[in-house]
Amino acid sequence: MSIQLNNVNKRYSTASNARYAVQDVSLEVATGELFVLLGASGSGKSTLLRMIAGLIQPDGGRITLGGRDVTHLPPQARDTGFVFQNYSLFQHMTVAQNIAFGLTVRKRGVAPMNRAEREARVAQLLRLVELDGYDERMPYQLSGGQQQRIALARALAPNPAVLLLDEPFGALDVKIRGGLRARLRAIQQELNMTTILVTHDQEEAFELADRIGVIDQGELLEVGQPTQLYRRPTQRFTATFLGIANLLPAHRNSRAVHIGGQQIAAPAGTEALEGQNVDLMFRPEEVELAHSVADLRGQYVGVGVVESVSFAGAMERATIRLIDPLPDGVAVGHPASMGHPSAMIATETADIARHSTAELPLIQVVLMPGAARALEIARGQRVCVGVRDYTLLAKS
Amino acid sequence: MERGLGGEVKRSKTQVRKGSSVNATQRLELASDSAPRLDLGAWGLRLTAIIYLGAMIGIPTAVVLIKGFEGGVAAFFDSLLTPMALSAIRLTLTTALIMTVINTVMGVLTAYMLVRYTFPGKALFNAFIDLPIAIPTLVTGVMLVLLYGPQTALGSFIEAQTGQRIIFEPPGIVLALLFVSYPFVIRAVQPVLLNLSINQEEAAQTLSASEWTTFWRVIFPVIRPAVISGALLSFARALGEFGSIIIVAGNVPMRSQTATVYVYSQIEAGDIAAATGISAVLILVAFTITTLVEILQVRGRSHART
Amino acid sequence: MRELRPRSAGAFLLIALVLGYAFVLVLAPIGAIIGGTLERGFAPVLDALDDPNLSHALQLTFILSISATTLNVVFGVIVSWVLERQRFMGRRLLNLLVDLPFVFSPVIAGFTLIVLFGRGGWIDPPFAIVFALPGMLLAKMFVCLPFVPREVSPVLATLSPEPEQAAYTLGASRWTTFRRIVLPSIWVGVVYGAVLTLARALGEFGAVAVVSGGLEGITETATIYIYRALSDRNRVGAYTVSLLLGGIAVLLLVVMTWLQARMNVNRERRAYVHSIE
Repeated sequence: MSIQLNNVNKRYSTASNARYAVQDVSLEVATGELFVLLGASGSGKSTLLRMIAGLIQPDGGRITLGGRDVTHLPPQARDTGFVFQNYSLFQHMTVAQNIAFGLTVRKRGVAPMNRAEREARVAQLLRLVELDGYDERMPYQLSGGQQQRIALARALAPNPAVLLLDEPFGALDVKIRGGLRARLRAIQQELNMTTILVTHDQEEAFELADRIGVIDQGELLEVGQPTQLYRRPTQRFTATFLGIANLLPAHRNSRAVHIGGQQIAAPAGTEALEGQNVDLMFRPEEVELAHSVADLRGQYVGVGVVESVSFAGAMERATIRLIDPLPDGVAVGHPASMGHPSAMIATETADIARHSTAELPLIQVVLMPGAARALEIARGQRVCVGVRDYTLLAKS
Repeated sequence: MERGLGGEVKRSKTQVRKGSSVNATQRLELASDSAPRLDLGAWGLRLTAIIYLGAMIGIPTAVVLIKGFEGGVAAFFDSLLTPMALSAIRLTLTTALIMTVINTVMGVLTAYMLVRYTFPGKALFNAFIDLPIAIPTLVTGVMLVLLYGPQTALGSFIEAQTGQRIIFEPPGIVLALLFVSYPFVIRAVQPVLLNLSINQEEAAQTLSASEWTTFWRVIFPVIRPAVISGALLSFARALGEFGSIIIVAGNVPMRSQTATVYVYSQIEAGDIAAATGISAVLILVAFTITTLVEILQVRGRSHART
Repeated sequence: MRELRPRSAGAFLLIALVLGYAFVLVLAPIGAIIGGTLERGFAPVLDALDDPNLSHALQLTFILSISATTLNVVFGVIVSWVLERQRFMGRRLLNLLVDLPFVFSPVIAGFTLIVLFGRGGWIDPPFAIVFALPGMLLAKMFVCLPFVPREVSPVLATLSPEPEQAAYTLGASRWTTFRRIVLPSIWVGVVYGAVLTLARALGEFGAVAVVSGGLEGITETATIYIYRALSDRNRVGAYTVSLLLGGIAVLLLVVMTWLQARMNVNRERRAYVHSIE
């Protein structure tokens, strides 16, 4: 069953400032897709999800499930399953009773199951979430991860058309989240269940999503596949929310991107930003460091001073303070010494000293383990900075 | 346990719903109700509640207020300013005030003692505190007469020593009021004391504060709102108390007649106007006190949170 | 606050003061009535209990009190539900209305009924309300009105609405959800409120005295019986019934204490659940 939202909004009740919890959101989720709504706390993602479930009424817009307009229908009539962050199991019922609850409720147009059928279904679902034999346990006897699995089984029992999950792993220990995520993905794919999952954890979003919708302050900023949003975001918020983003002010003309005195090739698909001031965005793992421009395989961006190198387990991190080009666009140094940091002459230092350290951009770099030593890069050294993959963001 | 106006237990509404995922949207209230717009069921319930409360409480209140001012403001004050009415009001206020002071002091001490010390029979004593709420007020009056009446050993002894009778006199009224309001201040202060962080106490003690200083400067400021609301409740109760007073004080006009007893006798005598006047005043006072208590409790809870 | 064993002289003094006060104020009168009733032995007591007016009064009191309690429980739960689960303008005013009967003098409550329905009153009812049972029922309902909402509201307030929302998404109607999800969690509060209501209703005097006219054998409740017995100088009768009502009150208090302990257990268990993580 597909989901469609058209211009859905929800106001806060402060009349003076008509602030919106959800502002004019439109999106579509295809049948069988796992769509992740990603945003920070208070961004409106939970509100949006609850409007789809019918637990909150929108102030405007339309919600369609499988072609049926459900905007004004109560949650009972919508055929959606909902999983809460705090599991919200019925504490006074056994696991089996919890799961069977949706099957014991009389619904219009649906023949109720008899006892044997219910028990079979409960057993089937317990197997699905890998908690066979837990029928007679009480919720307070279970761990958080187990309770959440039961909550999932309970939501799936009446075979809903759509599954909605509100930060389902948020209350759980970090260590068990990974396993549960994988299990959820497997179940969702096995059932081909149209699913919307709300989270603030971008790692979770990457792992689970077919597509991600980035939401901030009630607005749906961008929708796309994880790799696309990571590598080619169109919004600054998306870029910084989905990972570490290096941003350098630049200007795009008809053929190239100018950063200070430097010029690099304009990436494909950025024609719309022609003639505008932009932010050059590149990820830490796309940065190349070398002792001279000739050694760079990517596009040369400028010269920097290594501020720190640190060990981070599977990788090494470095921070580079870019001293050329300077923020005011002035190219440092004699053109002849461009690209040869060790050959920079004394007068350049004066130019650099005009800017406080804080004004000079700091570039985050991720290197393969051992790369820093191989490249003979240490604190205080000057290096050439290049980028392999990058994109442009409009200045907001 | 925090106690409401009638002594029933209230639980703090600030108990955080742990990790509710609607936390962000609860910081700012959403514009409308959770229930869908055309939800007849929800509206039906709401209407029932409104009609029930409106009919049972709103209408009687309005009735008395309207009737009280029926003859105009002048007539209203006339009915209030008769010597009998004034005497009744004065007696009511005096006894209520005396009772409130005593009850507040003893209530705070009792609550403190209950929370602070262990002693054999403590649980029993704790349960016992609620007894006056359950006992019919009339029975309270009867009990007091049986204990302090002029014909009893105790009563005549006291009268001989002090020249003051208990029954049919203001002291008896004060005793009756103390009895029926006994739990109010205690149950208002007790939960606040129980929730008091041990850290503050220990901090005061490491600074070599005596128990008394600790109490007065660390503990009392925190419980003050609860104390005041408990005191207000006692006062309000005292204004409206009837059953015990009519037994203990008799019905002697100008002498031992409180406001409520006065109203009763006027109704019996058929003088509606006089009865309505005082009733209206009592209702207005009651309403004011309720609002005050509500405000204080809200503020008290936000204090406890910090 | 930390709980200590009393050690200092000041501590003992405090305990002695508090217990002494409690004894003099509350226990002594109770002792007095037990003594006073049984002063001349059991015989006069049994005699007094033989009075047909008394049994009628007791019957009436119980019927009225139980009816008032039942009605107030049903409506009280609805009021709590509306106040805690719905948001609308004027909600706070309704909240205030609920508290009002506590500070209302019962006499005035009865009085308003007379003004409304009595002879020459504003409304002319098809059947007798004042000086008859309906009026007495209304009077009792009025004075006991706040107890159930004030007990149930806090429980509902601290109860997370999410299990209810889960039930809605699973297709349960509001009534089914209330019956199977909410009620199991709040029933202790409801029963506690009901017991408080019953205790208050049984002991009610002022409002009923005004509204009923106190016709013996017809509209006389137990408390009115006591009042009349006193003015008739039927001491033993008055004391006996007083003791009876007092005894019932104590019994109800025991039930209330047990329920309170139960409520604390539930709360602790719920806290435990969330701490498993």
